[in-house]
Amino acid sequence: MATIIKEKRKYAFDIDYSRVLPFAFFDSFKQLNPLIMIRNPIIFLVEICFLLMLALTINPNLLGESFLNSRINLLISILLLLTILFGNFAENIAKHIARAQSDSSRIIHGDIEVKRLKPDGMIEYVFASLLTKGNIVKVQEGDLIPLDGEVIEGVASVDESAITGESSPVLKEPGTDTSSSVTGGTRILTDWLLIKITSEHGQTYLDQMVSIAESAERHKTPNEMSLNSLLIASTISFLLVVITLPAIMHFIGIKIEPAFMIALLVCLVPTTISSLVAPIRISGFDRMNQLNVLAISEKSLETAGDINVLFLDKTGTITFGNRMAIELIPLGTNLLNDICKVAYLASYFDQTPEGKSILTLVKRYGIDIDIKSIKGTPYEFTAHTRMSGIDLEDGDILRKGASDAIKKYIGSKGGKIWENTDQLVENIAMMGGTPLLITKNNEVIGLIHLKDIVKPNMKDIFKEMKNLGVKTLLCTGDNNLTAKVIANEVGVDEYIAQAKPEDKIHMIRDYQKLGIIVAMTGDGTNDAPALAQADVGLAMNSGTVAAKEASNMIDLDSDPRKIIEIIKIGRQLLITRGALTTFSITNDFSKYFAILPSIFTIQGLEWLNIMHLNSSLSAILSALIFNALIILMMAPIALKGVVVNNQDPNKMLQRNLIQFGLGGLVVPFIGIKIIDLIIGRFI
Amino acid sequence: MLELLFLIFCFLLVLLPLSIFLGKFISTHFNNDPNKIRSKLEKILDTIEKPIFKVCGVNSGEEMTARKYFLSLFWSNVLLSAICFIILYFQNDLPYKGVVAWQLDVPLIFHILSSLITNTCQTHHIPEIHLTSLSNYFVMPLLMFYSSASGLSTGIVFMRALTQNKIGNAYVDVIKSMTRILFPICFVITIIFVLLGMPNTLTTSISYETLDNVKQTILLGPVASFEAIKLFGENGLSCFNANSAHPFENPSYLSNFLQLLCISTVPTAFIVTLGYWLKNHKQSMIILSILFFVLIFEFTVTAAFELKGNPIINNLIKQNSANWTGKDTRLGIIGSSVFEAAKSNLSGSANASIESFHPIASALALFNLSNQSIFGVQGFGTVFTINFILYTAFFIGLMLGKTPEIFGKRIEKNEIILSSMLLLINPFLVLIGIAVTLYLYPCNTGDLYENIHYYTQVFFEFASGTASNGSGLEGLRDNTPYWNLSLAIVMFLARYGAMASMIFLGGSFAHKPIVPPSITTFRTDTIMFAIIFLMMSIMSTILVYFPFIILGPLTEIFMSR
Repeated sequence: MATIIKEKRKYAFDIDYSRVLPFAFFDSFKQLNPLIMIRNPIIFLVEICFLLMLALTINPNLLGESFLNSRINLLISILLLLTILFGNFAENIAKHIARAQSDSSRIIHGDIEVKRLKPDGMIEYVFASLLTKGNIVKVQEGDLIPLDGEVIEGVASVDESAITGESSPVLKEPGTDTSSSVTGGTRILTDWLLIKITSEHGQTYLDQMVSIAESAERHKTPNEMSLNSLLIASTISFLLVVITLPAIMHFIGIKIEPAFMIALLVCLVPTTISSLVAPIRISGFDRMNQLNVLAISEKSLETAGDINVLFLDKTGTITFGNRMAIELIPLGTNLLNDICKVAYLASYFDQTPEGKSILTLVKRYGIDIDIKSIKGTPYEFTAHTRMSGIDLEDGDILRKGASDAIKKYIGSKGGKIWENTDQLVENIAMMGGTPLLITKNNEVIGLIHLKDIVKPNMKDIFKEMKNLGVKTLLCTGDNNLTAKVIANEVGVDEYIAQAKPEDKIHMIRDYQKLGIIVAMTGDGTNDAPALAQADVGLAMNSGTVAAKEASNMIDLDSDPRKIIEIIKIGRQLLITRGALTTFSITNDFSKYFAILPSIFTIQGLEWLNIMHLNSSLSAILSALIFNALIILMMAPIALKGVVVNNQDPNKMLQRNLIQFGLGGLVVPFIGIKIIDLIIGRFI
Repeated sequence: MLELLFLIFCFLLVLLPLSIFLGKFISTHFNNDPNKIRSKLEKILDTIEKPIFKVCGVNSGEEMTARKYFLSLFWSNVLLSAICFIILYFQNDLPYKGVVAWQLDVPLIFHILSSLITNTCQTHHIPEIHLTSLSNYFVMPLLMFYSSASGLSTGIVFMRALTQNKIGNAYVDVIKSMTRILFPICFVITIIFVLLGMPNTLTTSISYETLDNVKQTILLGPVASFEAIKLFGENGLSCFNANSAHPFENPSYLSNFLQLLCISTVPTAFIVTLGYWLKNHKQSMIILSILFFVLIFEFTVTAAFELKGNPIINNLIKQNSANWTGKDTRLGIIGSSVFEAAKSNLSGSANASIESFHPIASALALFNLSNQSIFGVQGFGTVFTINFILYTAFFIGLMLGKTPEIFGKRIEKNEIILSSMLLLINPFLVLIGIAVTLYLYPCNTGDLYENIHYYTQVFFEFASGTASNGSGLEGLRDNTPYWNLSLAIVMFLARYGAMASMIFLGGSFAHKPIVPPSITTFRTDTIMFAIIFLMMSIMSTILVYFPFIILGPLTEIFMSR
């Protein structure tokens, strides 16, 4: 799995930065528009300060007598402007990377002509934009599939690389859960299909992908909103400080320098995190896109980090879709070689995957059967008889089938069943397998052990889920024994056997009532209600349209194991935000120590000047330069995200606190001092 | 220093068992679980309270919404104040006047009422001069009991909503706070105080002739019972102007120690109650240990600076004397310093003049008043403490990549807004109050030191008013219409603004399910959490008040060198 994701990342980072950067640069200026800026109140406040400084540049004595001249005021206003621009720049880079990710090359340009089937069966040519839900269209080799739909006739291979990035074509045919849904914007490589349109124009998954990238730019996630409230509260308190401080200074008899007070305000308000909140969010969504997961709602990504319980579907998620034969057991006096031969012949005309797996198993036993030398009438497998076999020309009747079906068949013919048969059948069931019986001429001669095959690496995945603190729940329609065996084998925390779709919903609801965040993966139509009920419903792209519509995340690669990466990305989003907030707030201490000595110029406060900066002016300028530069320095962390690993939460917290808390205290002292040393030469 | 250690040791030794007992008592008696098994004592108390509920027309089973709970508390507070306003205004026409006949002006009445009903008890009036015996010994205790009960109810409803998803009934909580906590305990305290030598009588004064034939009047009154509610209710309004420095109010070292215990019991017990309701005693012990750590640190710093003495005076007299100015020899340097450090956290009563302490004491006091979470005032302080836990949990949650939780409840936008409001009330009222006052009444002497000291006094006055504390850096001539009205408004807004934010915050938590912890949940009952909590609490106060504390007491320290 790790390798798959790595490849995707490479593909995703294949972005032409020389194209992104100029756009980001110009957009940063466009964003200065106060109407846009007001969406981020804290940066908007900086913009107001910038305008005030501009006014002071024109008339330095506007807010009372000042010893600063226009040139210095202009310098300060430029620094404030840079503070805003750097923040905008970071946001725009994130936006443009995200747009490049889901850019127009993946979407159909303009309108294409499609062949629509009229009710009388005739074909008419219409524009794709005129199609409505329920229309039936015919697509042929080389055609683009206009909208999402369901295959109702035909078999064709489809290139889905536009959404999955995988170049190998996928076979589409009607009547199955997994391979009968097609996505708009993909291309038919061979043959033809009749498709019933299931989505309106502008609502296909590709359209959604683009609109998600755009909505991520605008909409805030829940935790972001609470953080925003906190930041605004702290801004209000700093605003109070800066507004009331002059009154006190005036009373005590300290000279007030308006430009310095403005500088103090800008340095104190959490500009670093406020400018980086949007880039953090956008790049979080971008990382999801790189993972080829479509997060349909903004909320779902953050919620993913909170998942406490994960409901898993057994078939297709933990196990391969089909059971496989793993053992042949002879009964009574029969020999293994003989029953192998019978099993092989009896299964030869069974087209189900189980039947095919028997042939493979026999071959693995080293028994080669020349099928051409055998002559007889095939007895084909049907769901009704649950048996298959062959009537050989020499009169032998060979059958294999489900144990109860065979018992009934033998019983009706008065045939022979060895006495330990029931015991063996039960043993296999106890091990979670499915027993099949083989008969030859009214005698049960052997057993076939069919078993669910767990996908490779599944065990590691569940171990990792445990480390992430997520409880896993296996949901299956199988009987208790089978469910238990599979659950033990892969290490799932709990299992629910013989679960009906409504049971799943009830279970999810019960958990949710306790405040537990539930995730669910699924692909079948029967999973759709549960997917909709879960806080995070992750549908497989190979799944049915109903499943995809019900869920709030779609995995375009149909790899359920990705849920781990999804959880990590969700957590990373919060951690990055928290780390930068801590950094931003702890920075204030050193800024106080840099700026206050320049403002409080009275006897008795010399001890405050621990940084020994060149002059009061260079102290203010250094603090402002640092304040602007730190946004650019932190932007890469915001875009890439803080490293998340499976550490013990205590250790991770310690690490983040030391890096961003202690770092936030120390870095500005050093940074401001260095900047002061440099600019001190010029002032 | 040995005395300090001994005092702290005794303080903790007596306080902890008492507050654990009281905390457990509160946790069972204010538990609104309908299925709980009621003890015999509870059943008896229930039958006693039944007629009270009936007379008051309270439907004791009614579960209120947060809004209704707040409004009930608020309007009952306002109504009581209105009644008391009439009594105070016409105090000269009413019986039981004692030796006083003073017509109170309206701004002063507003200030007295606002300061009492908000549990602040900032005294701009002089009880011996301004209040008749009826006002002083009946109206004041009435208000003190009610404000204390309102504070207790606010703390209880917040904790109950947070841990039990129930809000309860405001009237029931107020009445129960009186009948089950305040009355019985104050009764016991009164008896102990009487045994220690405090007067407790309805006689208002005795007159006698001194040896040099001067006729002297000594004021008396129900001092012991007044002291009980003043201290246990963390009110701090004195019977006599000298407050706990008056020999009748605080006769001996032992009574001083008991007073220290009285003001600390409820806030400590509340944290214990939280532990019971969370079914996590480690949690409450962790919180308590961090709070005691800060408190004892402050005891030590204050005492150390007082023992060192005033360098200027010591230079003049060429001796190393402790700083005895404004302290009573009966209580000693340590007894006064410890009480001083405790009172700025807990209540407004004073046994020495903080004005004459080393400026470090005012710096610490200003920090405490701005922070309000180191135990803090009756009921409210606990909520402030939990509010900082909420903030700490919020940051920790973000740093761990999960939606933050406090005691298993998710912290979302609504909660952050309410808790931010709670924290913003203080800077908003204090900072604007100082700025306006200094602008309107500059009182400028031209001397830098005097200016800075005046500023510190103004800062202290507003800080103690908003923190519902009530202590003051006296020397400020504050019985003027401006001071009375401005502080009456500030105290009122601070108290009810905070009360509303607290109850609504509780109400917002009351609807949230409690998420059981998983292995990745960060536990809040660890030393690590305690340390982060302490940093968080100190940082959020320092960040806002840093320039203001620097300009005030800290400049005084460095100028006095």
